[in-house]
Amino acid sequence: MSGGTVNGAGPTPGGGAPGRAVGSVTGASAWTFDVAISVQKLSHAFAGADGRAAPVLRNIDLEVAKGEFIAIVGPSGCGKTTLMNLVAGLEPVQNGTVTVDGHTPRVGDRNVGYLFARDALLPWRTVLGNAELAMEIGGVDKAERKQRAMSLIADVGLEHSTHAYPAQLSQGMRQRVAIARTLATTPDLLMLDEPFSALDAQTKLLLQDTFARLWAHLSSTVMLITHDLSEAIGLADRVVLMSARPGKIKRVFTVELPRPRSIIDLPSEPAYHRISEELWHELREEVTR
Amino acid sequence: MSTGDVVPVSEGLLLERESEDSYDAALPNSLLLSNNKARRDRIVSRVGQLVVLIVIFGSWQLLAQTKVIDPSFVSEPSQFFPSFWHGILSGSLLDLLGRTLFETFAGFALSCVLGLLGGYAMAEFKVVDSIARPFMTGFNSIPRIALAPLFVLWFGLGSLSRVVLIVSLSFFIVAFNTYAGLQGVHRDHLLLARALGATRAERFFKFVLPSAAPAIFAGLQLALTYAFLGAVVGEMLTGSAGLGGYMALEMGTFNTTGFFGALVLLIIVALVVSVAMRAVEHRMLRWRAAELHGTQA
Ligand SMILES: Nc1ncnc2c1ncn2[C@@H]1O[C@H](COP(=O)(O)OP(=O)(O)OP(=O)(O)O)[C@@H](O)[C@H]1O
Ligand SMILES: [Mg+2]
Repeated sequence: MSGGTVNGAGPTPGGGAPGRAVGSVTGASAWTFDVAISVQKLSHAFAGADGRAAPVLRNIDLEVAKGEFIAIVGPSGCGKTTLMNLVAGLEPVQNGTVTVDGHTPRVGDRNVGYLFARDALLPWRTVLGNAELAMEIGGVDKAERKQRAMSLIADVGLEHSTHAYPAQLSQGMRQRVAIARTLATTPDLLMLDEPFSALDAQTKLLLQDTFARLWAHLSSTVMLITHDLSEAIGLADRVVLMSARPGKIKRVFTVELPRPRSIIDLPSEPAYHRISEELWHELREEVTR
Repeated sequence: MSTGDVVPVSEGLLLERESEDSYDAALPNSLLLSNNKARRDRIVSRVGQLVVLIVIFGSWQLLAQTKVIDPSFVSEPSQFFPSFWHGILSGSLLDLLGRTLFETFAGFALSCVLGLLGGYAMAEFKVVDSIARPFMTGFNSIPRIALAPLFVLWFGLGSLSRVVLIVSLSFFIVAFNTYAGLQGVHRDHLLLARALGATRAERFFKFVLPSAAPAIFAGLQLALTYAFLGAVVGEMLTGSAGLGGYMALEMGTFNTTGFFGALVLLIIVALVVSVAMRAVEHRMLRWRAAELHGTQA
């Protein structure tokens, strides 16, 4: 096997937090406090159309180090969103254990930020108002809120649309507001479910780059779900490949590309092509199954 | 204007442009153009409305004067406009109007308070909804005007019976619209509220209520219309006070001139109120305009 890929689900030092190495985890017992997300023997089922339990996730083991950027790819319907909902506490755990920062996941945790494909901007709030929303609920005081929101709005390049309503923005602009809203509270953990999937190819590249740039200033742990392999490789420290439903972890790829990376320049990196090819080869088996 | 390229823009309007390299200027110009177009459209519709008014009252006058229609049935504009004007100047019509408006707004205010609370309770507590709904629907399907004599019997000939009639009409409109608005929150927004860890109060005031505002406002507007209607009709039925009472009285003595004079005032007041409501709505729900007309920033 060529270099740059590794099997197994143990955490590796996060590229976003160099130097914060985590001892390799082989068994379920030995982990350090630097583990941000720990998922053990997690299985999940939904009531199917016929009323019987339909398994969605099967025996997932995954540990994510603090500051690590992890991407999850897999065929549609394999349970990626379900896995994220379980980690977020939006869905109760049925089998196995999930801990976030050592605790049972709790929905509404102020240290966790979300970004979804649908921006969920509030149409009655301006760009500024939407960017302030998470901070408002997080209890940040007014002056600081505004100052932070303005600076993030500038970071995502919307300084000329501060007082526009979402209906007056393009899809890419709307998602940039959502990014500003999410990053404004500097969450320790970011959960991203196909955040760029509703965008056209060029806008997507720009926003991926914007996001990578902003993330580099934070020490957040990131869990990113995506169908875009170059997005996964370009952003993540590790890429987790899930099998078709019921989802299992099929393989974990470590991306040993140096940081800071530029997604736009990614195609010029030989390592990118190597990982991409292998990832696609394995994913194809699942998608066509 | 200078010589230069002439670029045709929508509907035959022309946008002049000096040369190729001032192309950037075409953007603000085209915005200006659409402003001009909007102003032109407004003038056209105002003039059109004036023409319609002149045609209506002109032919009315003509038909009444030539006795094609008996003027004792329809009066004539040359009579009832002066009657209206005199009523304004002498203050007699304004006194009557004052009473009617008092009843309208008292009834409307009561309907708002009760309707907002009722709609909120139904949206927030499933039990309230399931218990109250059949009664609400049942009562709401009664033609309330038919109950006016009953209200007079119970609450007397004074304003109170009209206020009760108004509440019986407007309360349901406000309550049902409030309920529908509060129920119509986008699930993405509720998920966001949950994910951000919003408290119950934050969820309501930052997510649910603003999203319900357009529906609630539509309800309030309709309720006010019905409140005015309830006041006038209630007064007519008891033939006592206010503009409605006066009109019923004039009708009873076949004084159609007095009747139409009061009607002119009624129409003007209704128009003013609806324009005012629309202006308030526009101010409060600016984002709605951006959403409906999709103006790009
Ligand atoms: N609330 C639910 N009730 C019943 N079945 C569900 C529910 N949520 C998800 N499922 C099922 O679980 C499976 C996994 O869904 P999930 O949304 O996790 O997939 P996914 O990997 O995120 O897919 P995609 O890439 O298309 O977003 C699907 O087959 C779906 O039909
Ligand atoms: Mg999904």
